[in-house]
Amino acid sequence: MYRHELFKVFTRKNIYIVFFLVVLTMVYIDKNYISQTETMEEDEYVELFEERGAPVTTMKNGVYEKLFDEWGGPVTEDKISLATEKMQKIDEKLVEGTPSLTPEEKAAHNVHFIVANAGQHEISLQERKESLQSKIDDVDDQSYAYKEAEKELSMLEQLDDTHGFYLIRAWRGMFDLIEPFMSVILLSTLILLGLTPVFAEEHSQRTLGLILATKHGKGKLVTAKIMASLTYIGVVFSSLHLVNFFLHWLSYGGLQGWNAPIQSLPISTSFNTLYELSPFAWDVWQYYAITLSIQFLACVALAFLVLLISMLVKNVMFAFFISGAVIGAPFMFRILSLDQGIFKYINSFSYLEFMKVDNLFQEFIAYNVFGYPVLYPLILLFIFVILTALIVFFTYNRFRQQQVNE
Amino acid sequence: MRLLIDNVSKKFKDKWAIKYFSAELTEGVYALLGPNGAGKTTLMRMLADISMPSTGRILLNDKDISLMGDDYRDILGYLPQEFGLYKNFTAVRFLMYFASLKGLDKKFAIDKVEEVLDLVNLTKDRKRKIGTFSGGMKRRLGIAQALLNDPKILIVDEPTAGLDPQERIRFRNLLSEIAGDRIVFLSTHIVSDIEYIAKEVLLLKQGELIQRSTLGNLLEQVKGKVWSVNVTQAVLPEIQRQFKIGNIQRNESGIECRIVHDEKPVENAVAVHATLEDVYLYFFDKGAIKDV
Ligand SMILES: Nc1ncnc2c1ncn2[C@@H]1O[C@H](COP(=O)(O)OP(=O)(O)OP(=O)(O)O)[C@@H](O)[C@H]1O
Ligand SMILES: [Mg+2]
Repeated sequence: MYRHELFKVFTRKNIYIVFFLVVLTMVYIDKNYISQTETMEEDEYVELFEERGAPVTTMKNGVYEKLFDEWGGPVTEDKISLATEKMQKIDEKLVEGTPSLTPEEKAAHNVHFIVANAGQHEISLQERKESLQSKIDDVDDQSYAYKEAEKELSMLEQLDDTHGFYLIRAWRGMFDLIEPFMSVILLSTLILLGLTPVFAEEHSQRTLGLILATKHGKGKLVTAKIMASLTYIGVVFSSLHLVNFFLHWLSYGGLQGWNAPIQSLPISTSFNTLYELSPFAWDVWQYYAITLSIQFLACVALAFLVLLISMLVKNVMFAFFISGAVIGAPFMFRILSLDQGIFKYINSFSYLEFMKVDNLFQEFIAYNVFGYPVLYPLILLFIFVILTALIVFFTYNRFRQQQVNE
Repeated sequence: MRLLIDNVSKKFKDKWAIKYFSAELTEGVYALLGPNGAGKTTLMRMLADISMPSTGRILLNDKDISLMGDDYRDILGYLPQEFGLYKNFTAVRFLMYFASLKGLDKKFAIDKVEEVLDLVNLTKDRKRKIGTFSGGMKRRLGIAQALLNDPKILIVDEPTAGLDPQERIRFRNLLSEIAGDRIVFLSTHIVSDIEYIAKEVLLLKQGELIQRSTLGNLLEQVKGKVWSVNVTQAVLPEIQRQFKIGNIQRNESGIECRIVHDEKPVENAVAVHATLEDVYLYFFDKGAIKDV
C-alpha cells in the first residue's frame, strides 16, 4: 500500500518542475551574491560597506586564511585596539578618495571590522551579565523575574570566549536555503505541492468510494499515506539541504569554522551577527545539526497539518491556499503590525517561526510557565508535539467517519 | 449467511432518499430495480459501509456492520455506479494496490490479479495505463477490483452500464457462476441483465420498497395485463396519453403498440406474453430501457 501511495506522490510532474526551479534559484543566488564583492568597483564596495557593514566575500583565494593566522580566535584587548587603529587608517584613505583598495586590503578591512565588532559584542555581553546580576540582587528571590534573570545569567556564564574572528562564512548560508524566510517559502511550497493532493485527490478523482469500501481503506490506508508523505518530505528536505551544503562548500572553498561558537555567526548578507547575545553555548556544527533537525520536525508538523486540510477541504486548490494562509498568516499579521497581545503569541508559536528556526536561538527568550521560566524553543516544540498529536488523531478519526454521498 | 437490512433510511436535508427499507438477503443474486432517483445508489452505499444510515441498521449474521467495521469490509466487494481510477496506474498496479487495501497477501495477490483480469477480459491490457482505457474497460477494471477478495457480499451498482453486449453477457454469466455461495446485490435499469439470474427482484420506488418477490411471481402479477394493438399514427398520441406504453414498432399495417393495462385498453387489443420489461412498466409508470 505504502509503495503505491509513494508512487502517487512521486508521479506528480509539477513537484519536479518546482524542485528544479528552486535549485536553479539557489545556484543563481549563490553565484551572484557570493562572488559579488570580488568583482565590485571601489565605490560600490564602499556603498555596500556603509550600508551593511563588512560585506560578503569568499575565502577561496586564501586571503582570509592568512588573516586568520593573525587575527583569528577570540578577541583580546590588543587585537581590538590594533584593529580599530588600522580601520581608521583605511577609512581616512577611503574618504580622501585615494587609490582603490586591493582585494587583500578589502579583506583586511573586513577582518578589522569583524574584530572591532567582536570587541563591541564582548562588551555588550558583559553589560548584559551585569544588568542581570543587578536585577537578581534587586528583585525578590521568589519572583518570576528573579528566576528568569538567574536562568539567563547562568546560561551566559557557560559561554566563554565566544566573540572573535572565525573563518565561518561558508556556514551561515548552510542553515538556510538562500535566506531564513526563503527556506520557509521554498520548503512549504514543495510540501504543499506534494501533499495537498494526498487526500483531496481521492475525492476529486472519485476514487474515495472504492477505497473506503475495502478492509484497510479506513485505517491502514491513512498510515500508508502518512508514511508516503513523510518519505516525500524526507527526500525534498534532504536533497535541498544537500544541494545547499555543496553549493556553499564549493563557493567558499571549505568548511572551516565548523567548531566556531555560534555567537560569531554572521547573517546572510554581511559579517554582522545576530547571535551576539545568544545564550546557547554551541559550536557551529552542533547548531547546524539542531537547526536542521528542528526544521525537519517543523516540516513534519506542517505535513500533518496539510494532510488534515487536504482531507477536510477535499479540493487540492483550496487545500493549497488554506495551508498557505496558515503558514503566511504571521507574516501578514506583522506587516499589519498585529504583533501585540494574543497576536504576539500566535506569531511566535507559528509554523512559520518553527520552520524558520533562526529566531529561536538568537537571544534568551523564556516564557512564564506556572512561575518557571521555560525557553521559547522548548515551549514551541512542546506545543507543536501536542498540536501534531491532536492533528494526527483527528485525521485518523475523521477519515474513518468519512462518507460518500454524492 | 444472512444480511438483514432493518428499517434503514437515508435523509438528505428534508428529502428521504431511502425510507424505512427492510429486507433480508441470503445467498443468491438480488436485483434492485427502480427508476432514476429511486434511491438505489443511496441504499447500496449504506450496504457498502461508505454511508451511514439516518435510521435503522444493517446486520450480517446478527452483527451490526458498523460495529464489524474492517471485518465486514473484508468480505465485501463493491462497485460504485460512478467512480474514478488513477490515470497513471497500469491495470496491474491498480489491482495490486486494491489487493493491498483488501489485505491480500502479496504472493497470493499476484496470481489473484491475473485471475480477475482474465475474468473481465483485460489480460492483454494489463500493462496499459488506465488513462488510455475506454469507458467500458474502466468499468470492467472496477468489476475486477470488486472481485479481488472473493467477496462473500458483492454489491454492484449498475455494473453493466456502458458495457457492450458481449461483455454484458460475460458479466451476467460470471455473476450466475459465483452467486452460489454469496450474496450478490445488483442494481440496474436494464431488465435483460437480471432476467435469468436474479433469485429475487426488489422494486424500489421513491426510496421505498414496493415489492419484493421472485421473477416468476412478478410476471404472474402482470399476466393478462399486457396487450398489443395496431394503431394509426393519428391516434398514437391519444393512446400514449391514456396508457402505459411499452415498445412502439412500425410495421406494414401501421404502428404496433405494447400497452400495460389492467383491462383491455381498446377494442382490437390482443393479450400477449408478459416480460420483465412489462413488470417494470407496470410498477414504475415509465418505460424501461430496452437494451440488448
Ligand atoms: N448527497 C445528496 N444530497 C441530496 N440529495 C441526494 C444526495 N444523493 C442523492 N440524493 C437524492 O436521493 C435520491 C436517490 O438518489 P440515488 O442516487 O440513490 O438514486 P438512484 O436510484 O441510484 O438513481 P439512478 O438510477 O439515476 O442512479 C435522488 O432524489 C437524489 O436526488
Ligand atoms: Mg444510482
